[in-house]
Amino acid sequence: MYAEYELIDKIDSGIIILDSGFEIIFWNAWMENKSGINRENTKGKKLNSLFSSEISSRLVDSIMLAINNGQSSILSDRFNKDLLPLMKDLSSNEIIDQKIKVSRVRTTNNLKHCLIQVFDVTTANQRESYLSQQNKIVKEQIKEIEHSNKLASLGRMASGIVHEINNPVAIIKGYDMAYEIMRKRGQFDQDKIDDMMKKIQQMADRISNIIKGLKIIAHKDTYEFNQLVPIKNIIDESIELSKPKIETTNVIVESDSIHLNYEIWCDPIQISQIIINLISNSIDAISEYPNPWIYISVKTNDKFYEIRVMDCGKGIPPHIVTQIFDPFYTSKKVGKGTGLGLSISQKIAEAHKGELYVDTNAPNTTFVLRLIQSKYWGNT
Amino acid sequence: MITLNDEQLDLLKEVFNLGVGKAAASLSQLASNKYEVVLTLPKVQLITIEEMVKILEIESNNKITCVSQKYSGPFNGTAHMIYSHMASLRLVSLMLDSKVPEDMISELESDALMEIGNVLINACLSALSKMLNEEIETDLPQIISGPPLAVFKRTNPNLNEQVTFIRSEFTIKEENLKGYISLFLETGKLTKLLELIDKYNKELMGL
Repeated sequence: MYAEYELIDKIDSGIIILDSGFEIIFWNAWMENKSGINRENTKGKKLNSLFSSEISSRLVDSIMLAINNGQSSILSDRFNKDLLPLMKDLSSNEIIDQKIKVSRVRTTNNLKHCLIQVFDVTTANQRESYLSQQNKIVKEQIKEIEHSNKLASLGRMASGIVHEINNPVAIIKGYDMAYEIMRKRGQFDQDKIDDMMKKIQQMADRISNIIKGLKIIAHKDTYEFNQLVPIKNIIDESIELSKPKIETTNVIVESDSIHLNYEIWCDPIQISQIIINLISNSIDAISEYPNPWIYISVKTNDKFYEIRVMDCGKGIPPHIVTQIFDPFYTSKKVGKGTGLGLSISQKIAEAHKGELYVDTNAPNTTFVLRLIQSKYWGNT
Repeated sequence: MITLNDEQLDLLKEVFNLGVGKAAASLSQLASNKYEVVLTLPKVQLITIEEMVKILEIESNNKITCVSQKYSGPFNGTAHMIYSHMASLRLVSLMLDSKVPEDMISELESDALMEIGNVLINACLSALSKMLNEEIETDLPQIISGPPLAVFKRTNPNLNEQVTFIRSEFTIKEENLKGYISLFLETGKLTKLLELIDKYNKELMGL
């Protein structure tokens, strides 16, 4: 076999062995090199008498624990700075970053000794702080890209806003002119004026709705997720609330039988808004079709529930799918939609840690609202 | 299958509560007393590894980090301290005031997690050791991450094995951080533990 201690002398980390009286009986070459203390000067000495500065009390406690109770400890660099005054190099006073493991070892004649292993983690530390810096830079770059994407969508949005607000403004101006003519001619028809005022009121409401929608998109509104609600109830209620619109068309709206125990933590009014919006969009798209239908179902998928709103349409063309969630994007006839519904719905879904997207693989037009199952809500 | 009567369960709870209390103090100290780490009264259950895996799968979002330490004494085995992966990342980044992003865990963070687990396991086992008046030696800690089933298949291939599953909820009030820590001891040698508990009980009552 090898000469006493030769093997551990060659190990590339610090090794110290103490006897049961806390006195040093071995100090390897690595320790000599990093501490500048020769092995001969350590024999029979206590660890804290070797250094002029104090050694960490956590280390002292761990040594006691190992010798007296046989318990092993790890002292990480993150929680413990400067455990032992070991220098990075002879020219500087910088202490190396270290991790220390302390455990009990027994001699062949059953004496309880303490093994202290010291690891230099300086390089690992530098590497990590470099990586974490790089990570930060990459994240910032991603943010910038996202921002420029937002600007692009803002461009599309601006033309939408102009269009959406111009229309009602033009109508209001028109009525103002009509009133001016009436005034000049001295012909006041009260019924006509009432009718005009009503229409001006409607146009003003329209503008204020657009602005309200913009506000939701611009900053996250606060939601109350404090209700545990069965999805079934939300869907039933949404269909009920959509009845006035459904009944003006031939569209048949049906839902699958949905388990009452499919529950989510949510702001139910907001989730219902999304579904009403999806139903309403579908109706606008398919009401002219022969035998139009909308079918709502719920599936579980991993930790989520997927609410699928499908209609008899044949899907959305791929080049449009990427735009439909942009604010002010609309395929509807002028005056029929503001183009804010889907982008507001998406915001609400995201605020619920969920998603709203188009299932492009489905044979029919299908929107999927993905929400976290209540039992996983707290884990995200 | 071994079952414990209420008295034995209470005693175990009491022992681990002592350990957990000590551990909470040590953890707060590790966090330089910036945060107060509160651990709730531990629950003690005797269950199989399979049942434990199911509990952990649901709670941890199927990813845990597990610090294990072998111990030997009146009974041998491995103690595991289990964190849900996300909770462990937040815990470390909080305690370390770390600039490291919460979604990645580095070698040095994993050392720090190992140290937290080490402090907790040592505290619990030394409480047990004191009560039983028997020395319980512990080995150096190891760390492993992954889905609970994969983790325990590696450390304890026999899923039907009965273990003592001890769990306690930790909270850091200042940060509204909540999580579970779970410790489990293989109870293959449980009869020995029960014998020792009974002996302690009798001594306590002066029999």
